[in-house]
Amino acid sequence: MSLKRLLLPAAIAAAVMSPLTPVAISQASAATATVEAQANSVNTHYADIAEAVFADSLSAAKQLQQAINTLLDDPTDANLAAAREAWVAARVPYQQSEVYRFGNAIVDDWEGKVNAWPLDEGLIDYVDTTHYGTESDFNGWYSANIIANPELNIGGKSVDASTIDKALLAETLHEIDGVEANVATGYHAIEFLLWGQDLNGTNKGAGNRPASDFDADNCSNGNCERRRDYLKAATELLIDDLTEMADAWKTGGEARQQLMAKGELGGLATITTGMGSLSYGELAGERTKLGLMLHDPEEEHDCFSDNTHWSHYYDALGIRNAYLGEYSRIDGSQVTGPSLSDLAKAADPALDQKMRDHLNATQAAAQAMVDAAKQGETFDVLIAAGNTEGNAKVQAFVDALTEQTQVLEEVMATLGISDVELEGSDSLDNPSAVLGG
Amino acid sequence: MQPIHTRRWPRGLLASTVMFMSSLACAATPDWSHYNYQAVQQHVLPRYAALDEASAALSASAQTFCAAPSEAGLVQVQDQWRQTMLSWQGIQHVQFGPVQFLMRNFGLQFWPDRKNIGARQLRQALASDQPYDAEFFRHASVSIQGFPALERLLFADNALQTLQNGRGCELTQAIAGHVAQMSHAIHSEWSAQAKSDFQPEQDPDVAAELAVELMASLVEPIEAIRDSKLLKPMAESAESARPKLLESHRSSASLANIRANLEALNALYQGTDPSVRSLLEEAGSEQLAKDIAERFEHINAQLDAVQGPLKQAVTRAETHTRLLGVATSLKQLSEQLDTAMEVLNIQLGFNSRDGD
Repeated sequence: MSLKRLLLPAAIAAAVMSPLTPVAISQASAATATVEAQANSVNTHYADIAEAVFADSLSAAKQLQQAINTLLDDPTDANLAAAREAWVAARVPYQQSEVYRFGNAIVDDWEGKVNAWPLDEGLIDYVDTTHYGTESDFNGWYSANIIANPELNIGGKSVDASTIDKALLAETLHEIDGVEANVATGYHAIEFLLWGQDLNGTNKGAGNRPASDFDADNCSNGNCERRRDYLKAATELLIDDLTEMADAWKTGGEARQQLMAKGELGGLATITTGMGSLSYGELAGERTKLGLMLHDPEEEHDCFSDNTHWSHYYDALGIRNAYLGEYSRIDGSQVTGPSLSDLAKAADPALDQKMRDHLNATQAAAQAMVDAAKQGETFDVLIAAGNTEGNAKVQAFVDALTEQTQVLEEVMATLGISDVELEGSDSLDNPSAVLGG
Repeated sequence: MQPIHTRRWPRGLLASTVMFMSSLACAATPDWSHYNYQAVQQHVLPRYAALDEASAALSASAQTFCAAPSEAGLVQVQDQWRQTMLSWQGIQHVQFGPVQFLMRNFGLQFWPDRKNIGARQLRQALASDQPYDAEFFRHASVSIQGFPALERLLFADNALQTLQNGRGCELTQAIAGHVAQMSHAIHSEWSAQAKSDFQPEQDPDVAAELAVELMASLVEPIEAIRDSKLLKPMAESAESARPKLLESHRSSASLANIRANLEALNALYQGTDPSVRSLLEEAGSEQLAKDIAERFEHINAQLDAVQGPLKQAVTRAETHTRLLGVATSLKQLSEQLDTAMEVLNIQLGFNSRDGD
């Protein structure tokens, strides 16, 4: 389902108020023929980067799995810390892959399994009820606590959770009752298991789950065996899902085939759709501005680990990568090749420079949040009511993303791809298909 | 509190790129200066004036009620809340200009509130000992600044009692006052900016830019209404419907809201002179212009056939099916308006609902 955006952020960047240069382009688009001639190599290279970034995501997730196995073998504080570090490292390539999500239906349809957010974590494990409450208007499974309850009967639906395995999580619990906040799998479910709830509100500090929560012999907070099973199964699922997507981008893979089937200009429009949608609606709006408007620590993308600054940084970097045709792999090697930037430069060098400047400005704004986090001012602290300076740092990031999206629209107009219609996902374009019509 | 004054109109929905492709035979280049001027005078300003007036009355009735709480007084405030909400629904589609300043659009109505944050933040506000003054609202979360928070207070079970407990009435008056203040500010700032930025004759490029904003106000809300006000609460079937996801379900105003939205969009489409409809006709697209008008009419008729409050209608199989028909019509309307934008040479860029 892709309907969660709704009216809510309907003008999130509208609230930004930065005076921007109008984009009235008084001539028809640049030599489309030239663009078309080179588009193929740009699209192919875009797919090559996808192959690299998803392969890296998979291999970083395997490192995470190793660290988690070590933790389960020997649940010490040091091993928990190492597993958390591996989770943070696994986010580096994955967040850079997010620019592929919008525009590529195959990625968008898959994404909910690995990176669904926000979640009602009470579905999974114990929570602090003074902080979390016990029930929600919208979600009967808000406090189901699968780890503590081998058998559940909620709202007339019974679930046998006596064995916690991949099938239970992926097929039964994930998005149970059709509620998106019932996130049973993916990075954020694992994040919750490794960190626990962040009970510090908009004050400093992240989640602080003890390692003994995974110690069957010296168990804290009960049900350690089941918690171990959950963590293990969720991690295995993450590996399965990432394997699927990494394969889809290999030569002959489904994702590549779908991209190439869109034709030259369709491929370019896919790249820009991914950049623009992530930049504006998702990252600037849903994941950043919303938190600023609500001053609510729950509105933080990585709310258990307080790693949001890095997640945002690498999301933005992914957008920059897509434009420049660049990617730094996790082994340090560089992937470079034909890019949108090359096409824009050929048509209008000044515009290409402007786009680059904006992308760099966005990275600088993201870096400012990273620097603040190093001083203990993580995203949830920055968005606190009354933290004027912190709020301004976050707003600067929103502004930069919004402005770069406008420049991107100029690039699209110049390259003659503003009008290219993309196949959307069914849920948006054909609700009757989703609604059982 | 003063908005930042810029020479340039603050850009709204990132609807930006206007291309004049004079080589295209079907491309029309309407006189946007003239159109914009008339649309602002005939459509935008009167609707903000109505919101200004209604919200002042709401604030006054909240004060009257709280001075001497009674059942009759509560009914009066509730009615005034409904009136004011309808005024807002009648201009909610305009998401550019002064309504954006200081996040007033979200302050007036933060919805949907998918994590029920409004409930928690309202509880916290009621429990705090901070004065509910300008400083309070300057830092307050948008979830407790506007209509949804007032609705929770005014339409709670036992509202007559609960409003008299603790700081209930105090907060109700404060929020109603804040809504009135925001509405008044939007109205007066729009009046000023209409003079400076929407002159009957201006530079065609600037006028075309501004037209994109007005056209986005017509086109983009349709999908949002369909998705968030209908499909999401309807879910997959009457049995699995989620009435609490409806807008304004506490006051049973969900259907009235949608009707007000469509009335407003229809008015923006053909209620001004010149109108979007007349521009389409001038561009030679008479049939499309007529089809769109008929679609609006058809949707109205479809909504007439939905009986009772929406929170019940979504849970009954028969009305659920009818509402699905409304959603389909909205989709068709949205597609027709997209075509109309091509005829008028208006290109809407990324909007914030893209992605996800």
